[in-house]
Amino acid sequence: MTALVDAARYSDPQILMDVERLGSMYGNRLSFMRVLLRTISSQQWRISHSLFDLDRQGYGTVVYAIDTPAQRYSLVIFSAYLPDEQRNDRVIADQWDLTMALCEGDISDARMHHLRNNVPLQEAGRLNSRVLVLSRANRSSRNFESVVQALASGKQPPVEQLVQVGYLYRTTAVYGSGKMGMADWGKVRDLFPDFARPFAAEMFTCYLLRQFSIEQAEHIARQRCPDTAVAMSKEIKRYIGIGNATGLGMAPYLIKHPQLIDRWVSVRESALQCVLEQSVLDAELHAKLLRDLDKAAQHLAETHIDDSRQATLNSQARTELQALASWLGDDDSPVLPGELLAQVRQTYCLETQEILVSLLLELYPEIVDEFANQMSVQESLVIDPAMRTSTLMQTIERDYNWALAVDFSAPGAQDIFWYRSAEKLEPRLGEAGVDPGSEWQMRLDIARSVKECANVLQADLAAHPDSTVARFLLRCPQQRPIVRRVQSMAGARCGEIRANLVDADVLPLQLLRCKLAFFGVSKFDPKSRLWVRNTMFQGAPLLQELNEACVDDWYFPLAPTEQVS
Amino acid sequence: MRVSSNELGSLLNRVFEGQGFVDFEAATKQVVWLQQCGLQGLAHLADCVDKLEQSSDSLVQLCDDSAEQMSLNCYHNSTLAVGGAAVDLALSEAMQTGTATLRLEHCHNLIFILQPLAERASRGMNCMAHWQVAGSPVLEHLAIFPAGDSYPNYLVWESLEPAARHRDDTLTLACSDAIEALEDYKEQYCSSGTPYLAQVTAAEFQANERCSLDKGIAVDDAVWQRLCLLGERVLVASTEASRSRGAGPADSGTSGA
Repeated sequence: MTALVDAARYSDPQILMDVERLGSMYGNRLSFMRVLLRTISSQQWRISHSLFDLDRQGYGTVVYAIDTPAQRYSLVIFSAYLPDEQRNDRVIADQWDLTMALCEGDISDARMHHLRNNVPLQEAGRLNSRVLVLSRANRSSRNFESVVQALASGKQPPVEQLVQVGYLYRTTAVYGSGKMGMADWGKVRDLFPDFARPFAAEMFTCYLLRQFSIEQAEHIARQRCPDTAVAMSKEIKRYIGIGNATGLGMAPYLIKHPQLIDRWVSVRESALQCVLEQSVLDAELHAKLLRDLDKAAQHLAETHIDDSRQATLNSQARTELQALASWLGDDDSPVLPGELLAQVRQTYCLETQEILVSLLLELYPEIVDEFANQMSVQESLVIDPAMRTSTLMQTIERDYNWALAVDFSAPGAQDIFWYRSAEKLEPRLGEAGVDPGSEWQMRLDIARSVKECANVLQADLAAHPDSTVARFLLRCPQQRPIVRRVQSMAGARCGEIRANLVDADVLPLQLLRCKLAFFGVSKFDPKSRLWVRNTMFQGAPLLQELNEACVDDWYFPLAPTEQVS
Repeated sequence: MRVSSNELGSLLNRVFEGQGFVDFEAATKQVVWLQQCGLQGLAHLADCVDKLEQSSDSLVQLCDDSAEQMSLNCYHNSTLAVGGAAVDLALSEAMQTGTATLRLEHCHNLIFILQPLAERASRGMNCMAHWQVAGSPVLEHLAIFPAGDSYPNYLVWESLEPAARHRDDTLTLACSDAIEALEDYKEQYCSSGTPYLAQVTAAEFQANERCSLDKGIAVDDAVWQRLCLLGERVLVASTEASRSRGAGPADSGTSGA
């Protein structure tokens, strides 16, 4: 009974969609990277070089041929010299160490010529609808050369160094869905079933980039010192992921796709509810949970970041996870998943709660994994013109009470605006009354828009108590976008992030982290309130391991414990 | 050049937002749909895009609210600005009474009405639009969307009306829960045996849209460049301050990792 009570509470969108909770999420079995690797493994995709043409310094072209049961794709990678002073992770950069494109089919000479002339230009290039993903990456200035040098001299890279930065390359943008002339999402969804899940093609590109980064480092080491160079150990390879720098650009996506966000959060929550309904953990699951709690605590201990806020949260979560593991290990009482989560929710911080959610999902793959097929939705926001305005007002009061509760007259409540910079359309934050551009602010202020709409509607109801929405919108056309959203989201409990995004204290970082958690990244490393570094695919099975047997145990990855020489 | 639906949509959003459209995403969908379906949405937009700037968003007035036929004064605005609201009105009335007819007067760029009609028809209401286009000869346009369909049967024929009587700023919308009611309208406008100058079937609309999705949308380079310029209006000039305070430190890429 306790579990059911807790389950009901946990399903409350007021709790689920709180921005601080969303900003505390971790990856889990339903994260897109995890689902992708399970798919590759189960379908036995074959991935090989169709071209490996790198010079002694590792510059040149590599093409991976990917054969799925459905069709062939090619990932084309161009590696070029980049002076250190030119290396910049921002969207506004125009040169990178490496650029790449995931394409359908084989790469003919003509296609290669076109790709070579356009992919390195990134946003300034033009692609076509046979290209699915465009991306670029920069070398880790701390890691790349030292890893190569270690391998060249016959040693393995020092693990301590990789604990600090667990990758050789960082992606700074991964474009899909029709950008720069590439295939629209509708085409990918309809014609490429291998990538017909959200961000599957983008995640796959990053996964192969990780493979390339390892192969390139080994290649340069061999070229540099053929007599002494060694291959990277399997343990080190597994520990190497792909770095990622994510900035403000990801935040508007969450606001502009409420139906998709509703689906992602709802599916995760549905899977969790099924887990919470399970009975007492048997000895095997109990032991696995204990191991996973230790693993998560150790993972946090190995997460080195400068941001004091996140470092404090990590430290607290680590302490709490250890306490939880200790308690579970010492107490012989039967453990019900629902009761356990209820107790943790009453006792521990959000980070700990969210880690436990991820770990509980790990206990029941046979229940959870099938939810992964439900992560897509065909989005459509449409006005219901026949609805009475009185019903519309009730809908607002029921679904957007959190927005109506915001006091926009409070100091700081409207101090921020979001806008697009003329510099490569980079999204930026401005300070109202200080920075120019507020007249062109992006419409991410859902709470403020809803509240304004409610005020207008209230006045309209007084004059027209029995009106349809269609007639209201003839009188007040400025309300069309927000009315469309409110009506379309009626009944969708998890689509709206419950925060005032124009408040002076807004933390865009929390929005970024939510989306990144659905991607499945780890090692969240905030660099300011506007952007975050993180690591993708750290600990994930290597390509050859996927073709043997998928070991889907790479959550909360840990550093190799034995130094391999 | 060929562009994707996504990038065309993103650009048009900026264009319409820059021209003061509150519901700029709706206008964008109207143009993109028409272009994808092979009816030259961008060429039609290029013809009117400079005039759209004068549009405000307080746009229409219901001047005849009778049960037989409602009438909406659009004050010389474009269907890109008022089409959605007009279709919503016709649809809501039809949902209450079974059939509704709405006449849009002093309205322009009438062909853009097709996308909002397609959207509503696909949700279960029979919809129709009829209008005339000036020229020599005057042309009559009729689109009928059966309930549940996303694409119309679209007909164009030479008007039999004297040129002096035609109105090319007027459009008639009808929504009905009975397809027969719309067939009656069709016979009213187009007598049996009238030779069509053009006919686009629902299957052809669908094939064109599919082809656009597969191969990209063909766009005239000059039109694209013009739209890119218009879309710049909503972009805010970059400064050193905005670069560092608004989007993270300028040296983020060289901070040592």
